[in-house]
Amino acid sequence: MAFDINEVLAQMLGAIKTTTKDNWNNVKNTANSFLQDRTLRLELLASLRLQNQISQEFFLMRLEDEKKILESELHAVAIITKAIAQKAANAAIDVLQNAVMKAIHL
Amino acid sequence: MRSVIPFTKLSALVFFVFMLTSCKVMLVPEYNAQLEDQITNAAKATDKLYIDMLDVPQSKRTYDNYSERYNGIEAEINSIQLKNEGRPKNGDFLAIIKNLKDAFAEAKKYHKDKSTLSDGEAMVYRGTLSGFWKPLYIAERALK
Repeated sequence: MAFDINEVLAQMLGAIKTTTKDNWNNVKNTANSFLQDRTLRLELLASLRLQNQISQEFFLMRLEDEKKILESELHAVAIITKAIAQKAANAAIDVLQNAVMKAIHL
Repeated sequence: MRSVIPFTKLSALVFFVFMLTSCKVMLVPEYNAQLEDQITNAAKATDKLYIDMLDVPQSKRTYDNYSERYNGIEAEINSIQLKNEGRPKNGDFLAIIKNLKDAFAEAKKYHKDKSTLSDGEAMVYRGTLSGFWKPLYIAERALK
């Protein structure tokens, strides 16, 4: 059986596109969810400080926490992106493997 | 234009494919359902710690009344850290866990040093610690 390299490459590209498209929404939704959470936390923090229910020192410490939370969120987004890339790469490899197996009747 | 590879030249390609399939691309650790459950339960325990504190008067919100629960959650975080240290491609996870661990230790120490927490402080800690747990939970689920 003939092995059409162009067709296989197109199928591999298709596998990558499908995998990333299906997963890319997860990154957008996650980033929005992180942003909404941060908005709520900062609103609460500001409101409690304005009502003098928390000290200035406590307020500043929590702002420092927000930097660390952002750092953690960026690591989470990196993991999501890497997981998508991994799935896409392995999907493309599967296409290549299946095409070769079909060509040699395995 | 279509290029066709003759059957006789496929052996090298087959070898290449076998090499590819035997070492699949790995950029992140494998999903671990047990870890996801542990993260969910420990995050819930943290949330409930502050919900329960806010349910009682400030005078009864002493550190001694909650020390066992603080220690239980701290042990869970340590266990999650240990399990992640044994996984390959764990750099991002370890960074998230370190931030969570430091934040929880600070919250525990603050309560211990002050003996009690005001309503405002308990409310803020509830939100902040939830903010530290969420990236870890989201990241583990992304591995599915």
